[in-house]
Amino acid sequence: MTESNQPTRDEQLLSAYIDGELTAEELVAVEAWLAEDGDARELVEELRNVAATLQGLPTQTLSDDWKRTLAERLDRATISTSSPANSPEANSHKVIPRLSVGRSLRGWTWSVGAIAAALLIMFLLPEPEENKEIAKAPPHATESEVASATGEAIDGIAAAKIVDEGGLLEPPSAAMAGTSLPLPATVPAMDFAMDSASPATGDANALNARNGLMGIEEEERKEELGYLDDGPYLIVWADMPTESLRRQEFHTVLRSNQIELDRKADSWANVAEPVRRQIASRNIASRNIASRNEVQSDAPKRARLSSQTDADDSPPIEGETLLVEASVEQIVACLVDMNGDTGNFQTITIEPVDERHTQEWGRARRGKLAVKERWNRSDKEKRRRFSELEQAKKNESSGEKFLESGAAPTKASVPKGERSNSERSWGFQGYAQRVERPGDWYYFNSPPKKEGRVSLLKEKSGDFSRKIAKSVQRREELAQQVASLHELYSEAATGKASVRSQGRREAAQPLQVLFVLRNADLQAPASKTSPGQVEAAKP
Amino acid sequence: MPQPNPLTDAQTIAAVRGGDPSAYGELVARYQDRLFRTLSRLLGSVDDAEDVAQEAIIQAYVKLDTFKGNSAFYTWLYRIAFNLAMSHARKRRPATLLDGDENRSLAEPVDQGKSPQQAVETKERIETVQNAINQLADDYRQVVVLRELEGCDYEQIAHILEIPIGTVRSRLFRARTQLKATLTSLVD
Repeated sequence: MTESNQPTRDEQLLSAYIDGELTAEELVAVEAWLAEDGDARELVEELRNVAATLQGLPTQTLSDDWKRTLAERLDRATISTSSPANSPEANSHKVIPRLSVGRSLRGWTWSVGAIAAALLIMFLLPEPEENKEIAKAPPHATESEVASATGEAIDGIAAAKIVDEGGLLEPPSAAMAGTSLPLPATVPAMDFAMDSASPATGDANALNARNGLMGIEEEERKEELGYLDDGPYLIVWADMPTESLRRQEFHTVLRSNQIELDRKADSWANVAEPVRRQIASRNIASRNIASRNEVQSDAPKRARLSSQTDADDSPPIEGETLLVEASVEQIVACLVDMNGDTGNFQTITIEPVDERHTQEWGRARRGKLAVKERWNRSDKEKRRRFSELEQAKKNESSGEKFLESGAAPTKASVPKGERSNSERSWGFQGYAQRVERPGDWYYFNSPPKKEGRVSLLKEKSGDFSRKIAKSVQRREELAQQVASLHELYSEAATGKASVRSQGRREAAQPLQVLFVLRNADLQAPASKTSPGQVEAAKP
Repeated sequence: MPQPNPLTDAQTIAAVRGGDPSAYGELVARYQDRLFRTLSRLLGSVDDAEDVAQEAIIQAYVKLDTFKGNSAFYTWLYRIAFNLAMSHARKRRPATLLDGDENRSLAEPVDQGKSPQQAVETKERIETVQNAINQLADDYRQVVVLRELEGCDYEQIAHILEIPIGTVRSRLFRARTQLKATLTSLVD
């Protein structure tokens, strides 16, 4: 067909010929070649067919979710203090207005599926029988944990301390007032009420005004949102790298979803008693195992961590715990953000809180505080809140001190910081509050195993749980699950049915979720002190 | 609605460097779809393409100060994206690549005007072509995608991949030859 010893008869030229990429001299030579060589003409035709076949492939378009996620990531890249040298905006402290760009549909689909599955399971499955065996106190159990395991009442239960941040509440949107999950008809288009009207070319001043003190001027038309009297619904465990904890990446997630961080930490017993009981019950057994395996399995790891700590001369970070009270949509959005952020959130486990615990907790504290009042603070309180916001912005840099370490937990406040431009318009202000944990708590308490009502949203490999993936593999199933969840909330809102706790929860009520962020390279206890001793020392 | 006098890439980049980070959104809007389209064929997975495209845009933004302007912005962006894509492909488990359950199909959406039989045939044809692309070596797949799907000329391909134009020509020819053979065998 060709004369390979002749440069002008190189078949590569035929390929370049159909692309119009020949020099004038080559073109003349190839045309002469084609005029006399039928095989060459056939080859050219075949190459053209191949090219045409590829060019005829359909094109894909980017989803709005992808664009939204990109906008959020660009916001974070801009405001992040982790790469000041690289970020062109780092010095100017400016942020990129949201772009009309978003998240992978797969991420949304699986995330929504996992979350919906977790919530559904939590709602629908019967309560597990309490395992009386766990009442046996192990060597590492704390007094309060023993009490929990045996079902004793805990003294000193105070009212919930998630306070009204004053004036930041916005009136609930119509969707919020009616149902908690304003779902679209089809799953792929799910938006969870996130206002994606992104100001791609928005006015920076307007954005700053929006981000600064949203809702304060509108407090007069604030409506009562109801109150949550049953404690946390979910526990979300996440393993994060040390640096991500230091940079408070989770705080960024909260801010981007319009969840305000309270300045003051509260004690575990005050705000998360049902959760504490549940975790304590579960971990009593695992502690025994952990203590037995401690020497063999963790010694090398601890040595490595120890050297790292020495090198950067900073206190070891065990983790951080935050109780978040926000709308279902905000919680979902936080989980989706975490799920998509593989670098900062290595594993995510969603653990429903046993209804038994929340009911007991609700009964115990009911009457001790008119919780509703936290949604109706006085103007004076709101002004104080405003001042705190301003002060917090000034003190924003002191992030690390809010993280919990092996040292005594600090009472220092958490800065609210500046809100991200990527925050969405929920029509609802969420709140988060740090929950103090004693040293070594994170080492001795871990997420539950992936079984029963537990949903593993993201495994360390970055892949989604096969179990969850299979359970919601088909879009129809996913749509059905979410629709069922939607229905449950709707029914609860209209009083047609009760969803947990005799239907006290209303659709417009916020959801409480405890986020437990553990250091992925968790340090072993700094001392030989047992958790029980630590717990006793720091009630 | 397009701007009457849209800024050039260079002007837009200057605006970003000058303190208007929102201008980067203009650059993103200009190239995101093309980049994604190219990456989806290069990687054979919509999901992977979305991840890599997003990462490339973020990296380009973070590293914008290092962009010297010696080449077009999109060439630079594509270079970042292709490096990420190749790195991504190396890390990716083979099972993931072929796992249809976890990856959205690259086939076009079902055309309501088509009969079910036609829709199936179209889907199969697309998958056949994509499989043929997937079977190419990375070097060949890169040039084919840039040429056939992105419409880059040889010089642009050479810039993006940082290889001589002669290499582009030879790789493209070999890639097409291999595709021809693969498609023929798959059809047979």
